[in-house]
Amino acid sequence: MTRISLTLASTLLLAAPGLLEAQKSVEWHADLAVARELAAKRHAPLFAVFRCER
Amino acid sequence: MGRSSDDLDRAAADYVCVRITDMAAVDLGLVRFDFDLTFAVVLMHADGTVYHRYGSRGPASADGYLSLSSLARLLTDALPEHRAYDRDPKPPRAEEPRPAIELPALQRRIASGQKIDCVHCHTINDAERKDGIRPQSGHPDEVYVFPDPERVGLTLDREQQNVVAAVTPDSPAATAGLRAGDVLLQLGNARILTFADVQWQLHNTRSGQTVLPLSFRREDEESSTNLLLAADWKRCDPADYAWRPYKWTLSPAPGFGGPTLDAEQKAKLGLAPEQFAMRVRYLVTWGERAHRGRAAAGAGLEQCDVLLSFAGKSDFTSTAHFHAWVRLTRKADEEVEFVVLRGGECRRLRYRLPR
Repeated sequence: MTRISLTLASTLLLAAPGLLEAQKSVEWHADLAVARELAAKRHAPLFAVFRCER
Repeated sequence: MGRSSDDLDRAAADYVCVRITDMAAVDLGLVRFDFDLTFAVVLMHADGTVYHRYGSRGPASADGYLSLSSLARLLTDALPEHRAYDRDPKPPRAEEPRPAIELPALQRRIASGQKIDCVHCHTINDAERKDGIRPQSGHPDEVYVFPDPERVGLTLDREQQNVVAAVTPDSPAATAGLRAGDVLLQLGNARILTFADVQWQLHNTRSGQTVLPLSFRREDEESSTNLLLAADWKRCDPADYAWRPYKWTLSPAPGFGGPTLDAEQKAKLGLAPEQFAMRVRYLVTWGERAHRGRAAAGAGLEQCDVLLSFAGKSDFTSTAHFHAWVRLTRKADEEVEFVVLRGGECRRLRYRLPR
């Protein structure tokens, strides 16, 4: 399982200049299939961020 | 802003978070959004049911509709919807996964020896269009992808994105009786919480004259109405479309491009600061679209020429605007005259616009 741990803000900051810094750490997955399995197990919804770094 | 960040962290804690920067493995039968964007959010159930989308942009700014607080609000507001659905899920019909990397156009690139390090969102549009994948009705206006809500007369609040901030007079929204302050509840068959939700519904609404049902709340009362959409409702000014990479997939195309000149460069050439002037940096002489560059070269165009007007139009605001305008308003094989500056002399060149 691939996991990355970034602050939510650093994730979003990379996404758009207007989205600013957050303080706390959120566990981010990098594989949608793995995240879906986990979401099914936890009965949790998925928050999927698609960030193109072109 | 710290509060918004905290709110977002708190809201995200109820979700399984996933961040995708390469679309290669993403199942295109499962997840779709406006692939022209560089940032998009999809809230979904594990079974593939999409609740909401977030992430949109206007012509002027990449993040005009994005904020931590509006995203936090979305995550919070969507949670009850997830809990209700999860109690009685109705999973979409299972289909064979279609990872983006398996698109035939990308497979051909790989087979020809090209290395694809990353499948960018916008390349999916190009790859799908090359092979006619996911055509909808074939209506010519379907190139106007993900219409802005303003196309139907709705200006939405940036923070509470299902709240109407303004209604354009005489627009479909005005005719339907909507007013500033109304809260959109449902458009077509989808619940609306965001600007991107509205765009998704508009994108999937047929082009040409049609009716789109809408429900909304005003104070404590819920009402239903219809947006009556005219034959050309999806169309927009090419200047508003110019930011979209999608334009590169369209035909016809001029077969050349380059940067616009700055005021100083224009002054040296004796041009007014507001004059459109684009230095021809390249002719498309490579790949499967090389015929376009050959057509431009055949007309007598040379690298370093400065384009001043094209098909009688000289008020382009950028190179992207020029390309969007040609692709959205011209017809393939149309006879076009364009004016270039070369060695201080204006030259009129003509060609049939390549497809």
